[in-house]
Amino acid sequence: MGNLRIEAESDLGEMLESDFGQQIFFKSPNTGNTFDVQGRFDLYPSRENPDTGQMIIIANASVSVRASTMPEIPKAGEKWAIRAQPTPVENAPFEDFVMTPDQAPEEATRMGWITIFLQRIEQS
Amino acid sequence: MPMNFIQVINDAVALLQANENGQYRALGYQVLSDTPDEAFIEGDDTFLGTVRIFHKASDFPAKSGSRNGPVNNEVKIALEFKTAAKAKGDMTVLSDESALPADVITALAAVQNAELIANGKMDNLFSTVYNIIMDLRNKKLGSSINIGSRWISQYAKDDPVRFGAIVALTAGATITALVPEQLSGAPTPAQPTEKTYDTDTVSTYDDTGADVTNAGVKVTN
Repeated sequence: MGNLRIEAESDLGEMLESDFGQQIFFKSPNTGNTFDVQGRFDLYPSRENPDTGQMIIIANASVSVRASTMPEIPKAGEKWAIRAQPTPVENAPFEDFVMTPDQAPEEATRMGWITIFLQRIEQS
Repeated sequence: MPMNFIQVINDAVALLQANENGQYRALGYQVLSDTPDEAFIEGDDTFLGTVRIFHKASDFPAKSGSRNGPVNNEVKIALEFKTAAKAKGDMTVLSDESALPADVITALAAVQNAELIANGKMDNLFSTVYNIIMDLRNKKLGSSINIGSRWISQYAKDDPVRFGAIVALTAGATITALVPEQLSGAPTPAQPTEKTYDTDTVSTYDDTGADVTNAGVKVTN
């Protein structure tokens, strides 16, 4: 039996990149290069209501990828451009996002699983 | 007779609605949805958000009125602002998969994040509403009631919150207005009609089975 952490990371690849996987494009602010990896667009729940402060569930848009497949890992404070398909149907259009600059990807807390929170972007 | 502050609030809502000019949407007292949709119009930089205006509280200071004259009602009117924003950037480069790296670096460096844009929109929204409320022509908040004075005493922002991939920002402000309340007096109580009592023939029962004939008084009209 091999190392369990390595096996878990490998299983993560099955979850994010096999039948569940979708293509996600990244543009690096450091190199200007565009690369794509397999990952998953998701809605990550948080709980707050700006009107009342009450606890409710709000879905935050995010992409999840395996760190080991990324040529470069986004860091807090950087602005990355990200293209993904929010709608899980065949030939769904790619939509444009940027990484939320003040929110660090949750690296190393999930066996190599990175969650990147997204902001919608429009033409300036 | 309804008190004057009710009319003042309704007139203040109408005043803000009459001055919207596509910059904001003024709402009276109503529950807003939890999403930023109503505070955001795609591609419309003129539209800043929504403002909800409603009665929050009334103070009636001691010695606020005379025996026969009006009573001063220090009305606190809540203003609740909501705005929302997306990030902005040069999409001709950022959505082009064949863009040159140097152009991508420049375009990403120039991206404005949504929190900053929402913050700017909120300040512009508050400025717009403040200028309407404090315009000398609106010293009565658009009302026919003779308001003694009005001022905006506070403006405070909440933390930005992400809804999906859009950032929403809320803020609150308070208008204080001195509204004279005319005392209309208590309504004249209705006069009781005269009753006829019959003390002889009342027959009733109780759970004990005891004879309780003539135990009470019967009102016959």
